[in-house]
Amino acid sequence: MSPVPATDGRDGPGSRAQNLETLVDVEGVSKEFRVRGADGRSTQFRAVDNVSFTVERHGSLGIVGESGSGKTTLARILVGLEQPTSGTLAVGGATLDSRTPSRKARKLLGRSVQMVYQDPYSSLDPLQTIGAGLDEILRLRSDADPKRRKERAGELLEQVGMGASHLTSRPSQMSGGQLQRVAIARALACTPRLLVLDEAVSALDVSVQGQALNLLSDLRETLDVAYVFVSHDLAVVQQVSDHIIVMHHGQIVERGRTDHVLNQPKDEYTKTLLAAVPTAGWKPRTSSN
Amino acid sequence: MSSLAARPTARRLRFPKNGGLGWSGTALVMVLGLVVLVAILAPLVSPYSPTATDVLNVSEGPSPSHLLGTDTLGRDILSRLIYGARLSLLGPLIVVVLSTIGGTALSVSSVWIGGWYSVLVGRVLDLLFSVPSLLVAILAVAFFGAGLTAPVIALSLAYTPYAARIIQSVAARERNLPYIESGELIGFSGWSICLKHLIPNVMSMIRSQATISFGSALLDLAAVSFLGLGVQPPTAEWGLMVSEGEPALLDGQPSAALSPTLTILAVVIMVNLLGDRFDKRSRRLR
Amino acid sequence: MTTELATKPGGLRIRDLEVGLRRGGNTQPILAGVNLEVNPGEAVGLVGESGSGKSTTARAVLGLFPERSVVSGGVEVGGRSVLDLERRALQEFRSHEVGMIYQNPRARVNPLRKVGDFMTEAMIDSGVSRAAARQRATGLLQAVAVPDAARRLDQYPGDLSGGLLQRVVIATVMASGPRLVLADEPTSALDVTTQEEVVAILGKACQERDMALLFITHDLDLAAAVTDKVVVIYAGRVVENLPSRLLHAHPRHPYTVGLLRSRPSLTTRERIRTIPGTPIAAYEAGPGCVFAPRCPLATDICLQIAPELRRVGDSVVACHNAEEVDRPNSPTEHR
Repeated sequence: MSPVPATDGRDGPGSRAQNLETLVDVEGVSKEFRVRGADGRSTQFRAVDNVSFTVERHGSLGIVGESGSGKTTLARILVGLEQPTSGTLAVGGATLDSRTPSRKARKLLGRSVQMVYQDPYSSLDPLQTIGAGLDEILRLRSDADPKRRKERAGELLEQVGMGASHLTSRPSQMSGGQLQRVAIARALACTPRLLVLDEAVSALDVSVQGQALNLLSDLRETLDVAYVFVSHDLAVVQQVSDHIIVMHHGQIVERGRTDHVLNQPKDEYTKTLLAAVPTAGWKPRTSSN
Repeated sequence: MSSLAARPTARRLRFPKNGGLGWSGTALVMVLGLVVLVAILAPLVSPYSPTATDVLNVSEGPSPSHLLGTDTLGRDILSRLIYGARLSLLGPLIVVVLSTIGGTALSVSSVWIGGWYSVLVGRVLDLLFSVPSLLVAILAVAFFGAGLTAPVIALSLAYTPYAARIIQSVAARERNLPYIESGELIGFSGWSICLKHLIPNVMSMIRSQATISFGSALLDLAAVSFLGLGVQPPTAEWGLMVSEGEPALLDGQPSAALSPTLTILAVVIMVNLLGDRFDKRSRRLR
Repeated sequence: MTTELATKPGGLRIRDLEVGLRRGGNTQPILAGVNLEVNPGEAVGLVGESGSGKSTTARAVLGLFPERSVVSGGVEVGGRSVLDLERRALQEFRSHEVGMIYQNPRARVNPLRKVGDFMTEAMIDSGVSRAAARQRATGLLQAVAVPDAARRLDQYPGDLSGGLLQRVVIATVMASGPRLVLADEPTSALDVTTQEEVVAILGKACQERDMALLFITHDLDLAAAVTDKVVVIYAGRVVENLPSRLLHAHPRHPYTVGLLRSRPSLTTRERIRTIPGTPIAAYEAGPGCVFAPRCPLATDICLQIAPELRRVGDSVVACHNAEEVDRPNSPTEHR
């Protein structure tokens, strides 16, 4: 990966605009599911409700919310695993809308977007060695010969802080933190412009989570990759993303620069979320009934 | 909705695991392997020819020259058992191979493609399920004549839905795991994912299921031959030997009927136990 | 080994608990020395990462041990040794003396039975009439702030959200009046706002009924907020035991400091000062201190001799260099 001149994307859109082209443009996207209620009748459930946002190249957007907020569905739409019911989605030159069939969507998006999942153990084939897995990806996504592929696999592992010795290991022999690094390496093997991380550090031990967050920050500085980081954990989002959108019942209730939103929230729901996070000195309050 | 902050995944603590099958499993594999070996090496191992009659020693009990005695035509029972193993084991093997391949193909494709295809496959399987296997085998003989070919093909069809259903449940669960989905995102083709990732990960279930159905197939085919519809005399085959041994029973010489019966029983039990061992192993490895 | 408070009768006492698994010829340790106490009316947090042994400890309190395990040390609840209980007494103990709340309430509750049936089962068994049991159940649900309590009794677990169901479980567990409640990651699967409610209710219920609460979690901040004492466990050993209010201000063990620093800040972005390496389990530890290979303060003695728990300031800590932890400019300077 050729290093990109370190743009301090932290300045936000509008400043030092030379490298800040828009990578992701989501416009009015909604997703409805047909749900069968307990009474047997089916209703439409809006998981994502008229959501719009952009992510610039090399940027990092955090999407936070609780369960049912729609953040996971939104993440899946970004990678093509779900089709929006309405709205459009433009990622790295490819444009899709509700009429784009799912296979085509995945194909279009797969060129520039990859996903890192929450559970490192089930996001890798348990029977395959790490090296074989990386090789399989590189064989599909690059023209390199076997020798070059092996080198590249080693490079990818080093990039995520792991030694090439792990090429012969199987997932069952490795820890969650290591596997999550491998998952990131696999995603990077596809040379994506955008990485969608869906609760990617939530299943890691606290001490390992810190390492993973540092790694993600480092990678964004040296590689030409942007993040969409979905999480319920606000402190984690503070570390990894420049901008943030807060979702509630499928809608965006607040957005802005991460440190602004988390330090000076304007929306009531955001305030409620922040107030419920255990930090030093926090005490749980009971609800008024 | 999947759980939000799942507790940090405990590292899979690797205690040294005991290889897999355990001593009972290994013993079973060795014994069954021996049976297969004896069947293959029949001409070398068998004391007599299976069709050599000896009218002077009809329906004899076990003796030093005939370890399991002789049948009503004076043929050595042990030799007939050894030679009989060939057909008695080959038939079920073909049934299992065909039905497992068929069942795997149907279930994996159904799980992968989903939609109307999956519904269609479901209906076809329901149809196949409703036909009792032995009956189908007998009908096949009625249509195509006696011998092993017709019943083997009929049973392969009849066993397919069982294989399909068992494999389908594990395949469905596996299909929904992130690593399969992530393969789709990376751009691997459906064929590639199913063959290289999905099927290998359900192989242990396929294996245990195949092993158990071998026992059933063996019994069904032996029954067909017992009824005189399968292998025809003078060929040696265990099921046929049981029916041929009936008259000797009445003569007070049980060995001709008992030996093949016990052999069938022993092999079926051992194979079932082995299938069970495979199943336990696959559970532990998950 | 040393206790820091005079223990009231009742409550939980774990002394030098060691649990090992017999595999082949050797015994592989899972717990290499757990010491902790929970007095009635007190809440103690047990905090650890993967492999730390916190769940094994919880199960040990219930008398549940893995197959072929070797156990030494003492586990007492209300003055009675759990390890010595016979099967019938153990069953009785598990149903009446200890209550357990798990991470996933749906794994605990039969989805095919109504909530009311689940809640009143134990009551009816002990002779209470159906009507009275139902009334009690309604009261219990109201006490844990479940809205529309009477209607909930006729619903199925699937109709309730995770948070609501967890509250039902808590209410049911409390109903049998156990001396000790074990909560193993009770809120890890819940939203943060629901977590706050559940945790508040749990704390209040335990205080009101003078129950001892052992709250197991990986979340140090949560433990500090809802408990009176925090016990930090690593690789099967208790490494620190200190009052919760002092956790952020004066941690005395390098691992505790490391854990505190590993948590990202909610307000500012800064590079996280991580603990190198990954958490290990007891059987992977070498001689000496279990944390030594990853510790910034490790000295030669740390690699050779396992430190005993001793009092340093307000903490009980197992560290040869605990006095260095709080020094300015030490590698473990944390705030």
